[in-house]
Amino acid sequence: MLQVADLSVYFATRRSLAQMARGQAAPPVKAVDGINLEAARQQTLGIVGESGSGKTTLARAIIGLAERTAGDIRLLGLSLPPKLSRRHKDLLQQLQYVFQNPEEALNPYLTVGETLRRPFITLAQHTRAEADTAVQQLLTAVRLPATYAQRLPSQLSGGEKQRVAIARAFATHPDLLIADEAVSALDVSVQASILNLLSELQHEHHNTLLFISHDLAVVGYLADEIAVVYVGQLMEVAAAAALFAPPYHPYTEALLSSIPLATPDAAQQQIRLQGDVPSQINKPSGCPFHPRCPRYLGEICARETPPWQTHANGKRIFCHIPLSELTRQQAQLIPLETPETGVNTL
Amino acid sequence: MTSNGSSLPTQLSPPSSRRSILRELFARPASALGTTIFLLFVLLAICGPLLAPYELNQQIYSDARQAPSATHWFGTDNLGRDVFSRVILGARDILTLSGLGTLLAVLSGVTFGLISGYYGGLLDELIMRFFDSLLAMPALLLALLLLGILGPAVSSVMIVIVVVYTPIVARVVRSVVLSVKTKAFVEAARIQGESLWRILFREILPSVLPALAVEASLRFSYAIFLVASLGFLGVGVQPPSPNWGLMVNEARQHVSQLPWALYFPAGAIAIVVIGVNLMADGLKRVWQGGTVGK
Repeated sequence: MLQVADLSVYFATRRSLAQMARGQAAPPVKAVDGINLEAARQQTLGIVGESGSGKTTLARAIIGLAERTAGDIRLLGLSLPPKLSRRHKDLLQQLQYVFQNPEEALNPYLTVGETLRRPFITLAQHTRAEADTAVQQLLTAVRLPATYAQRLPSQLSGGEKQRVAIARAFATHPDLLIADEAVSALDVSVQASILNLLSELQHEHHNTLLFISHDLAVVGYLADEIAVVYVGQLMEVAAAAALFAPPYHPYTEALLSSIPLATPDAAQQQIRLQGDVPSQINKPSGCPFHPRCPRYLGEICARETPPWQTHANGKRIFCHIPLSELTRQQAQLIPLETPETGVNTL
Repeated sequence: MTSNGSSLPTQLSPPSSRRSILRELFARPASALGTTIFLLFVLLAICGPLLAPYELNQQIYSDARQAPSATHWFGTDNLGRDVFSRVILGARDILTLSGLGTLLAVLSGVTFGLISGYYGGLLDELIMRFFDSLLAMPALLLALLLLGILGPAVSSVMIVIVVVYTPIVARVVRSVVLSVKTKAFVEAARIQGESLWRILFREILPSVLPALAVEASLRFSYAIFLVASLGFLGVGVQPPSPNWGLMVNEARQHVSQLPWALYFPAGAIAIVVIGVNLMADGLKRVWQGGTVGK
């Protein structure tokens, strides 16, 4: 369905005076640095990482808003042109996007109906009347009253705006929907209903969902497979159930330890990472996580790129530490609570 | 579920409804005054020929050089023309010329501003640096230069207004475009395969309109002043046209004997420019979201 191969997105930086004098090129910001991913049809692929890890850039490269530097992105076996302007309307129809901030996702000067009508007219070549009927159905599908078509975004709440944005994304029956932090701007009670709406619509439309979030609990609730990103590189790829059992990548382990648990007396290992996320201009050698890794082995981590190790349950970990060793060290510190219970208690 | 707009209690008007803007303009004394002055002059421009007691160039030799009186409210000039009639009839001349000029300047400014801001890069640099070089020259100097090339005619004055004010309007538009074009709703339109035309004029332009309306009304007041100044310098509209600036120039030679022939057209210029300026200021306050009436 979706294949991302060796995808890199670099952003140019301005050259300093010293670099100009020496005739050097400015080092680029490596927002996405050689990512390989696959998502099967109707599957939900979750992408987790802290802010600045390149998750959004990855999504924008797929949708065409950020131009890729290297690599290939294939949808249904067809290679996607890097530039949005080079993509045919049939392709645009198959790929849709839900933005992070519902406040900015809708044009404040257009009514909900005018906004929702557009994809039908531009991409599906409906007539105006057909489009208006379709808008009514669409609003009902996202549980909004059909009268909302006459409203302006300023007359909607944040959650309602995000429902409209989701409706717009589903208008053309996309094969792949990318939801970039689709719930992080909403308050917790609204988050759950938006997540449920996304997964219900996905069920009806049989689309693949690429769900991006910094919140491992939210991703664990929705995703079939989860990819963990750190400074533009993958650290671990695992089926959702497998991700929450050892062995973990040391970075995933740290992320897991930060999920708040619903049971206050559950034993949870607190891992506090030292230092800051490294600069993406001047990334650490070897394993990019080595300067902060609580399970730092030694010089090998700083010198050599780690291997991809595959566990029996299918999870893949980008680490020098043997999986058996990771399992042994991590077995006793596990928050055995699955994150599903964490979300359902909302 | 069927659509029934009337059942909706919160059927609010769009954010930029003409009615509410007028209401807000009249909520503050200064902008109410300015708007009233502007509307009065517009009325004069429309119904001038009905209100003026005499013909535009009607010379009544017996009444020449008269002070203001019941028959000639603003007196008569050197050639026996009724100053009141000429001031009234001059309103249409100056308002259409500066209004049309401003409209064209706004249209071209919007086009350049949208393109420059949206595309960015080299095209933006070229357009904006060229406009900067135009802005570096004082408006009146640039106008004189252009009129020297084009020759004095109504159409030349119009071209002058467009050339002088396009850069200023384009800058304002561009600055708003820069802040709007990276917003998610513009990116959403790009993802949906919207045409460039639609993205520029339907997605981005509405956000530009508030700033544009303020700038346009301000430009309009300066355009009135520019047209009058050019008329006064004798390089713009030519006699016997009732241009207020031209009338001031003609009356200048006799100012010690016939001061009224100078004061009234000069006063008309001042009042209309102040009025439009106050209105522009009021518009700015309406859109800056300040509370009205404080």
